[in-house]
Amino acid sequence: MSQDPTQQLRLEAARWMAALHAGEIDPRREAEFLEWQRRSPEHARAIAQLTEKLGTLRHSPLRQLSSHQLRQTLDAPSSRRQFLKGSLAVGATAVAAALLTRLGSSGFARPGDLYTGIGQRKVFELADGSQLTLNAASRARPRFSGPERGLALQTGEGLVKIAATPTPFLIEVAGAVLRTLGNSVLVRHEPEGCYVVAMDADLQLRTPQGWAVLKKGHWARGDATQQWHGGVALGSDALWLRGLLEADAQPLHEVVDALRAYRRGIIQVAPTVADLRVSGLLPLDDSDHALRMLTSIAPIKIQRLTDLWVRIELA
Amino acid sequence: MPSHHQLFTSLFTQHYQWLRHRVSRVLGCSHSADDITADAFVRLLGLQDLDGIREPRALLSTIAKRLMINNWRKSDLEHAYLATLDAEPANTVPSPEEHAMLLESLMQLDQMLGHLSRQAKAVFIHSLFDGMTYEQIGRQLGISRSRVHQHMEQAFLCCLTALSE
Repeated sequence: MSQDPTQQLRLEAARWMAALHAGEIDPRREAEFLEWQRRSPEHARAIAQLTEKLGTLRHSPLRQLSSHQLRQTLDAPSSRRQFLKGSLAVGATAVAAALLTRLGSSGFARPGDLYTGIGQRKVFELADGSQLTLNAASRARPRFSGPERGLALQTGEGLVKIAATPTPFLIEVAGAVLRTLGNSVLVRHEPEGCYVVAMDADLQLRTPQGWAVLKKGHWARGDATQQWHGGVALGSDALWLRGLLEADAQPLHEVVDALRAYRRGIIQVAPTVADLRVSGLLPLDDSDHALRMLTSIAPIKIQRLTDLWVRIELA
Repeated sequence: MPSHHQLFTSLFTQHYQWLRHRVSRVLGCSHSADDITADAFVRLLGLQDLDGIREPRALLSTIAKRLMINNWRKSDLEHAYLATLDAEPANTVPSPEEHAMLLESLMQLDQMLGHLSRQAKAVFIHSLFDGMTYEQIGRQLGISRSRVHQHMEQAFLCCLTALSE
């Protein structure tokens, strides 16, 4: 079976990319991949080019969109493609003129979310005088309709300093809901739910039985089922405000999750090291340095497949 | 043997008005036709072998048509994007620059994913933007893990093909 060599290369590169993204490459397969990359500069170039392009897109403004929004947008039908097929030959039509008014409509103002990019922290003033500080790569949607006030944290992490008014401030994150009248709350979106810290006063968590109190200085984890568990907060939760991350016997994959918001490109963590416990104070704003520090804290090594793609493995 | 510049000047003088006229008849607007026509000649200028062009008008028509399709697709995407915002109202306004950058990225992603199925696009988006594992994507979309893997291979192949064009 003969095949166009360029197409063959793309097929192989696509297979490797899909396998690498599955995140379950054992050492033998990985050696095969590196060998395949070495076999020809074309191979390495295809992988590097694609990885770089994907990294750029991943950290483009597209990250402000939810995956739902992205899917809906890309599903937009291209009916006019059909229309244009014969149009250059056919000539002027009134339809074309009407459609043209849509061209160049980019750039007018409209409502959107509050968000930060990779490596960016930002303070927002909300309509009721409350203040929201978003950690890097985070997105929140304020909700002020009628007498209600609050926000939904869609991704990332934020610290809300709530202005004291008689109306409760509602925060929704990962299907869980909490409320408070006026104090500071730290909320974080996590893969399995959310993490909340009552920074300087009690707050209330919604449970199937009604509202439960989270005491000042305590943390809680919850999810859409409204089941909560918690403990005493260590006081290092808001260090990111000062560009620091304190790990205290934390699984490596959690530490890397925090670093991802500060680094362009892909960081892969091998399953063999994902649950290693690490402790230390890491600089968020210099992720290269933070990764180097991790190699001196834990028995791991960093492998750079490209500048935008690093893998963390057992040393 | 005429230089690249001479060849280009000659093509430009012979065909510019013709193309502009043709494009403006399709678009019904001379202002946009100027943009598209100019853009088409910029693309032509980028070609190495101007001497080898047999049918300059056919080539210019094709380039202009592609540019118009891109514009239309961009507008399709913008409208679909705005529709998703309307469905979820909020209270900040991205700057025109941010909006333009977002549209540009949307366009690139759209072109890279080309004619993939809706399901394959969904798989790819969840992997790239949500960092979901293949298992999680499979659960979310109600398909098997191996089907997710297949979709990812297809998507990467589609991206690699688009990148080489």
